[in-house]
Amino acid sequence: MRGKEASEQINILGDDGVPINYHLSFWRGEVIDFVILQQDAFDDIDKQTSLERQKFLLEKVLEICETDFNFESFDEVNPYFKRIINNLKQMNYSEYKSEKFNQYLSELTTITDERK
Amino acid sequence: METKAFQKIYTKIIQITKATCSLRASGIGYEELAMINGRLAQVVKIIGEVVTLQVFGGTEGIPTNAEVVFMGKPPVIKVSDDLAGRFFNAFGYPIDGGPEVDGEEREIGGPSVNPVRRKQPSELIATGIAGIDLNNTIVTGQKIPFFADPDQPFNQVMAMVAMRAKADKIILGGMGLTNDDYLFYKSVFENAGALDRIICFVNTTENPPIERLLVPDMALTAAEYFAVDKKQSVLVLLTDMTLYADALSIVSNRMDQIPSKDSMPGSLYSDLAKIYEKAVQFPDGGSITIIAVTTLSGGDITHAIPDNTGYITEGQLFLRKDSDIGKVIIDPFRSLSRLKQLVIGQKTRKDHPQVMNTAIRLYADAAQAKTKLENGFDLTDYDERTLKFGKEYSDKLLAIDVNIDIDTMLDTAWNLFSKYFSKAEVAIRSEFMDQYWKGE
Amino acid sequence: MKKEGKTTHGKIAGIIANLVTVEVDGPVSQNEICYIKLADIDLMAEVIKVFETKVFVQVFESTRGLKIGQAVEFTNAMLEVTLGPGILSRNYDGLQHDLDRMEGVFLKRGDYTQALDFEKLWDYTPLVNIGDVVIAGDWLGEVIENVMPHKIMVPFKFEGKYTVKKLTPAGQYNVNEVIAILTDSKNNEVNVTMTQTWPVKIPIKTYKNKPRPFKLLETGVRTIDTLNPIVEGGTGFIPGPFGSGKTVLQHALSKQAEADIVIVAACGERANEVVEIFTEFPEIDDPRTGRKLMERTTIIANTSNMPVAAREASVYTAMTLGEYYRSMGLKVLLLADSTSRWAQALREMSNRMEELPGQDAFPMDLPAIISNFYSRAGYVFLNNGHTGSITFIGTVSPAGGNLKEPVTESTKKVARCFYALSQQRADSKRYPAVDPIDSYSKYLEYPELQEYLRKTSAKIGLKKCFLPKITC
Repeated sequence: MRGKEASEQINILGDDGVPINYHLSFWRGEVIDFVILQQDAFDDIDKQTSLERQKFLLEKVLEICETDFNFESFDEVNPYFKRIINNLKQMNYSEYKSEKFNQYLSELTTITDERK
Repeated sequence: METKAFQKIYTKIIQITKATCSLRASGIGYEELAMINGRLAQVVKIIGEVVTLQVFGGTEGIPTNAEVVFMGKPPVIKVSDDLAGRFFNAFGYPIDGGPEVDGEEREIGGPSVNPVRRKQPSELIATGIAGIDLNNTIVTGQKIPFFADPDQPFNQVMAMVAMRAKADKIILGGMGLTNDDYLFYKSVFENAGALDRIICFVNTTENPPIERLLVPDMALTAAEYFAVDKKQSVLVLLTDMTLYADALSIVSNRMDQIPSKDSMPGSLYSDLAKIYEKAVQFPDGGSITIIAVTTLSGGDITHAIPDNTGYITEGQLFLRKDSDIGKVIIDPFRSLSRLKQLVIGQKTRKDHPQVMNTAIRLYADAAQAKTKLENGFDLTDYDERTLKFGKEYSDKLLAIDVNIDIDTMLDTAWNLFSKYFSKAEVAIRSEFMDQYWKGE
Repeated sequence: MKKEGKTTHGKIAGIIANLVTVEVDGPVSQNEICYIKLADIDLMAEVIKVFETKVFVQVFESTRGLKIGQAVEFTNAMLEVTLGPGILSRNYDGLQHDLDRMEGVFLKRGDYTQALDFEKLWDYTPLVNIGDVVIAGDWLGEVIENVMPHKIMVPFKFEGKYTVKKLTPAGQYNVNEVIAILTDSKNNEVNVTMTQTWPVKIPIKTYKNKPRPFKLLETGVRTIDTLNPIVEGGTGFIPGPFGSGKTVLQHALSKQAEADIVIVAACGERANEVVEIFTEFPEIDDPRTGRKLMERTTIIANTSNMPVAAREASVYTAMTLGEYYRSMGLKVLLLADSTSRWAQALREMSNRMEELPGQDAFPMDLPAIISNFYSRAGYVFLNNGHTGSITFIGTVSPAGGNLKEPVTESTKKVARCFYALSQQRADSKRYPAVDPIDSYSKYLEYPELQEYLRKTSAKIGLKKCFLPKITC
């Protein structure tokens, strides 16, 4: 299931009219979109990503997408993924492997561990 | 314009169409002007000794034995400081009862500026309208049109922008203006006491449509005089460019050219670019900024006129009526100023780019929540908050009646963020969060 | 071209915009360059159609004030560029005239400035020995142009084998000094300087072979490298409605991609965008050389308000300069923004000549013209075993954002990477607005690229999951 289709289904059937899985698919797509596909051409760090960093980022993102997070209800999904996206975006804005970068990385691990 | 004694008079027209006349003549220069029974015309085609003229006033009533006199030069305008405060028709003749302007004669539609002699635009033009200053900042040397449906108040917004913008000269090129709109502009300019900065070239709906073709070149040649010779910042307003393009299609149609998309001439892109590209920033301070109006039919931006315009101009501004607040707003989704990157966060506060993008993203969420609501679904807490945010954002920032400075716009946005959202939902770079977040 | 002989002359017989018909007194060639002689200036024009003694020429300038009977002189040469050290860092118009050398704020009609600095002295070192046998494109010597090694080659127009008879020793010379004397098979001596000319419409083919490209070209743009990578010597195009970020993406590529030489053809687009390049590139630090990016960049500017006829020439000029640097064994990145404007220039002309139109009034041979042009890009093995490449990425500005229009369709047939910019993504400010589903890179299917990635994966750390399309 692709994020785009999931989002369409959610729009047609309503938030609680679809299984939580749909929400997860949608948000996985959003993570890939916001963190990999979108890139700030006007930010000095984010505008250019080395191949090594791209590989690191992709693996991180795929790891998140392949994780089965536990949610009680669909309205927990949205804020949780927004935190993940925000954290990864802050990483994109930081120098690769800098102190700030590593700090965001460990924060990310904390967040993902919450619902494993 | 008097005919001179030595000029040859031709009296045998061999072909007449709705917009053109042809006759046999020799020694004629391409794009030269001519008079046909007192009507102005311009050479658009020469094949051997057959010369085809485009008649600006239309060919109604022109006889085959009309007197044709060639004037030996392309259209010109006399430029001097005396242009200021005056109203002219498409040919550059005064229509305000004043005397003819004396000055240096210049050909209109002259050559382009060498791109290496340009400077990258970097001076912000503040309008007080947050839909422009905050989301779609305009800079000197930029060219940007309003894309608007004919019933929207674009002339009012243009006049407002013109009055608030700090420009040395404001030149209005009116094409197919209704007489009422012309008088509206005139009274706005007079009431603002700004007449000494204003120059108008006007073709109203009462004048023949082909005359419009001269208006942009007249206005821009005058603008070049002030921007290059006088090093002034000049703001040129062109309304309505759709009617200009329509006049182009009439002429090309009469000349049997094969039309391309939407029955527009194949050269539409180049024709429009020649006008818009007169917008320029010079290194010594002079500049020409063009704000135009392109009216749409039924909001269709894929039509050849808005489509070609969009590829030429540096963005576009969309007006939209927001029924929730009952005001006209500048649509943040479809509007874009391409040159805003040159000033936002540099000439304005550093948080400007991120605040702008975040507000628009949240406003998009509001739009989505609205769709959900309309489709009868339950809203989440987040949806409810975005809806409230959307309404207040629209009212306090997007509406065209807003008139505040940019710092106030940014502070307003931060207030709205903390009023309705959590830090994670806003997700702006942490250094700005630390500085500007209004909540706990 | 026709044989040397008496210069052909003509007289103007008709004028419609920039299409002028000329009555001639002798032979002319298709695409021959001629000059319309006015009192104080000459206007350059190109032959585009011949009917008996009536020749149709497109004038690269405004035709205002031209009259029937004015004299025209033919040059017996096609539109050519001047090749030699000193091309980098230059800002040219579409006909390779140096814009910085032109005087005044406005472009004056007929102001044709020289492409190279003929006075400047270059530190020259020979690379061959007396007695060596050479053919066109072989490296005779080297100068350092800004920071890049610039090879002085046997002129591309030379046919057959030549022997090096005399060499000028290493030293400082200007581009017009003879640096070598070669003899052909009949023992005729020919002088070689650091410059040569080449007609832009003819590809330079002094390489041994052109294999399928296989080396990944790093761009730093995640949606390209991670999802749909382009290769060195590859072709790609970026179609998108206005406002979808074509130019921003192209500028990002030009600044970041891993190339030796960057050539940007600003073709019929906004002047302020070119000014942005003029302003930014000299400031951008070049991590590869430690100098400024502008030192290995050349810009060809034919902005939308410059003469339409030179628009077509501008992309060919850019490509020919690219081929010149490729022949030196360099990696060239060539960007053209936008190829649609070039197609429109062709349409305007075809329309004036009253040719039978194809779809959307474009000329019938548009697809052929586009595919011939894209085919000039590529990865090559030179005769001396070195490699060089031209990676070409063009933007397309589809009318109304409709990807079914002729320019997009014709380009799709030949370009191997497709980066579709989506209005929807742009509207929701998801930049770069490259659509992850519609876009593709055919190079992913190339076993050559897969093999290359396998071999280098240790070094750049690519792994299998790096490339397949992500389902999102």
